[in-house]
Amino acid sequence: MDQREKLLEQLTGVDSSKLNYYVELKKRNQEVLKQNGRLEILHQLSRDINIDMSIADIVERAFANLPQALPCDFLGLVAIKSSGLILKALMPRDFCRIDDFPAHSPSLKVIQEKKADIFNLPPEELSHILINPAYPGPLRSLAITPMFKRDEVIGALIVGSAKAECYDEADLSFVQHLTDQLSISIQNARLYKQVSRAKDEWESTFMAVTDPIMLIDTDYNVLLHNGRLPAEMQDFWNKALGRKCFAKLHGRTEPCPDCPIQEVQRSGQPVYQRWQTESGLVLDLSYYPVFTEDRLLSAVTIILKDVTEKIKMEGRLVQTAKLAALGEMAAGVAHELNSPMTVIIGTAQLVARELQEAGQPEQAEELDDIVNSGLRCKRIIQNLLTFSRQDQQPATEIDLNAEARLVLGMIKYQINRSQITITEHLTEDLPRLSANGPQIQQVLTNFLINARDALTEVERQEKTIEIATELQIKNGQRFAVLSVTDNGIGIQPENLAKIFTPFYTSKEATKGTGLGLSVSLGIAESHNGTIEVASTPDQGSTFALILPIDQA
Amino acid sequence: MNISKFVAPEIIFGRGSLSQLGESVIRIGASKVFLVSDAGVIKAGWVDQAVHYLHAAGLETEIFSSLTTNPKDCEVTEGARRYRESGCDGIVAVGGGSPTDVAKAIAILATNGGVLQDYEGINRISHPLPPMVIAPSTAGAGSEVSQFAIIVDTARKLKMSIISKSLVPDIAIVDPELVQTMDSKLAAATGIDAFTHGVESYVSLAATPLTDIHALKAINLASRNLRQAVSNRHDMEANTNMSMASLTAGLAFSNAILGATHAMTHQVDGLIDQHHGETNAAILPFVMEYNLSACPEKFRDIAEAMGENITGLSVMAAAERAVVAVRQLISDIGLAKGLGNLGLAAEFIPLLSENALKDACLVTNPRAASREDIEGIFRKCM
Repeated sequence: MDQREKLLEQLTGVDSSKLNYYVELKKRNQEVLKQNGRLEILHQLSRDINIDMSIADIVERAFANLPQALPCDFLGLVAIKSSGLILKALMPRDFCRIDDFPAHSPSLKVIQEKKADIFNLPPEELSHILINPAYPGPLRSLAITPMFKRDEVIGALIVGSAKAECYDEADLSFVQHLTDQLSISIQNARLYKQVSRAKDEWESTFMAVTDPIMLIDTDYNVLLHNGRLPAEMQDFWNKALGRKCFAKLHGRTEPCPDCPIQEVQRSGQPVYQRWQTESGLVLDLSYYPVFTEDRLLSAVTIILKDVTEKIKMEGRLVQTAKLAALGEMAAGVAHELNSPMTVIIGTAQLVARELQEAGQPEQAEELDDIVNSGLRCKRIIQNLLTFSRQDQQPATEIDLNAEARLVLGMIKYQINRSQITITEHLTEDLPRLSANGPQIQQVLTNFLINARDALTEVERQEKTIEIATELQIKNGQRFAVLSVTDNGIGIQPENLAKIFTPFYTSKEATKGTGLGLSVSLGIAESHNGTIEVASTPDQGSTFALILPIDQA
Repeated sequence: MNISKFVAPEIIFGRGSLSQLGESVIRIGASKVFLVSDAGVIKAGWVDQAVHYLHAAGLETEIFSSLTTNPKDCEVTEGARRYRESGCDGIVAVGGGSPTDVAKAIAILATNGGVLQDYEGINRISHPLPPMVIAPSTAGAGSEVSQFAIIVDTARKLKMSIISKSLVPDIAIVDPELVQTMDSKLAAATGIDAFTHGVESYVSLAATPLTDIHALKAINLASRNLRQAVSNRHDMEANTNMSMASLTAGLAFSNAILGATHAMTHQVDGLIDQHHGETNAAILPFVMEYNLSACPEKFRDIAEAMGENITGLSVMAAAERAVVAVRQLISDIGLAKGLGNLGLAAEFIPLLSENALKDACLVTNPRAASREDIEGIFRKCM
């Protein structure tokens, strides 16, 4: 057909028609539908991929959705490693192996040029892709898109099909979108892992500390705590409504006066405080400021250190030191007094004998009083000497009643002077037990002095102190009990817990040290024993030293 | 050729048929209309009337009339910009060949983009055009039914023929009322244009029985009504018949294509700004003489359709009567002027001839023509 006829046919011929809008619309519509479908897949994928998924899981999820959008027999994620490229994840998981990416490999080209591309290569060009014979191969069409992390290429996504020439530019653009989506998902997962690892590390550090730690915001809300609060303090903690620190720690409804948080806020410096709880614990609190980026106080970290035991120890040390000094002095004084007393007694006896021989027995009897008083002084001096040597004395088999009498002998006179009647109910056949005698004397002395002090503050017709010893059997174990009961002022129940706390005292500053009972409890505990207190306000108290007879 | 195709729009014909405009536009799915017209038609009041019908149907309008006789590519570019900016979704042309061709060209750019030169030639359009209704205000161009749009390329100084079945509008509303506002000179020029379409499509190599009927009818109606229509602009019978002549000629040439006359006038029109009808009148008789020997029977039919008495004449003699009759018609309506008189300088003839050889219309001319042949005809036409 010559040129002219061809032109003629074009001008009039059947090949050309008025273009139909419906056809155009249908074509557009199909394109839009296809595009919509693809967007839906991307959307579905972004919903399917969880933040804690591994890269392999993410690729698997993408592979599951892909065939709806385009032909896909293989989906692979190639990553850049220092030495070259590696096939990081693939679907199906056993589809192929790529041990080495040669210089001509399409993935390398895409990554180097940072540009997505379609490859329709003969199988020999792709011989580095070692396909599992269980799958139909080889791959004839590849759509490969670079995976970006910001502007940097971190790898490539390969979509492959065994069908020849099955991808077009629209498919490639879709794969690029998919790659971008996957890149975001992978970055997110990676960030999530980093953050959660750091969080775990901090949490375990926080939880590992055995002292209670809490983080409190400037509005007194407890943000975090490590659950190490001592059992004695859990009551308020558990009962508190809301999470205000004053409610949880103190059972208050408003902030504590002089709350250290105020000072931390003012000074921006850590603040330290000692706090004695209702239950008798002594806590050292450290308030450390936590600042925001612009140096504003955002929270306060509080570390509570239970120093009750440490304080007791300190108290005991002080008391021991004092007693040691006292003992030294007493020994010196006793020694000095011993000679004059011997002279007094000896001389009085001599004079008394001379008066007897001179036939003046009345005068002689008066001198006997001097002799007796002198002898009593000598006994007191002897006791003081014994007491002062307590530290050197190891535990020996002692008779509790004998110890009690020894103490009474020393201080009965003092107590009787205060119009107090002392009665003794000593159980006579008490077994002997292994103990440090002088220390037991110290405890009893302490009980007696406390009882006397409790009685001096009360107006009563008959002030009595009863000393008793008895044998108790609990759970098949034998205990010797030495108790002192008075009918003095008693102890208020809320103070009962505090009385063993070092430096706690109800007495005037000149009279008490606040150490007596804490040292006594220390002594009892060092004998594997304990001290029991029963008290009714305005009626009296009983302090009992309970010591095991059979040492384990 | 064993297979032929005849493409025509829906045609609404008759006095007062412009009233169908609003309903027609709604039917093809437009809601805001880009109305292309020119200053003359606006002055005659037809645009106001068209807008009235469009608004009555609840349609919005945007009027574009910045165009000239022998419309230019730059006018089309501006129109397409206005079309896109105004958010229109349909095109209406009210006017002669110029607004109609501009409307078609704007429609091309509206959905296909690019520049007009991209679509020059045959079947270059790839996307359907917006819905289009054309109401001619002249009786001659036939563009309301044709697959042609002719636009001047101002850079190359020639008329670009854009030929595509997609250029056939959806609906043509031919209301003879509109043509009565033409002056006599325009009536003569447009009338002879319609007549030329009839002659050229009848002798075209691509003519089919379906186009022949329309071509002969157009020749017959024009030769019997053009003189009256020119001399009495209010003769509504002549106006109506000339409208039908233009319509049938349009259907004929749109499907059978034209010949050497148009291949040559397209070149002249690109160079001198004269009405296409006047250049047609200057060239047609000489091209008929040149083609006579290729298809004398067809020219005999033309003579007969023009009412010449050919009884007893040989085929050739009868065919020659057609040329004589055409010369007489042209002379009677006052268009017997040479190309020289119309302002063409002889020095351009070689260039024009060269370009005419490339014109699509030459393909269907019944007698093959070389550059020298075309040059010869041009010189005769001077």
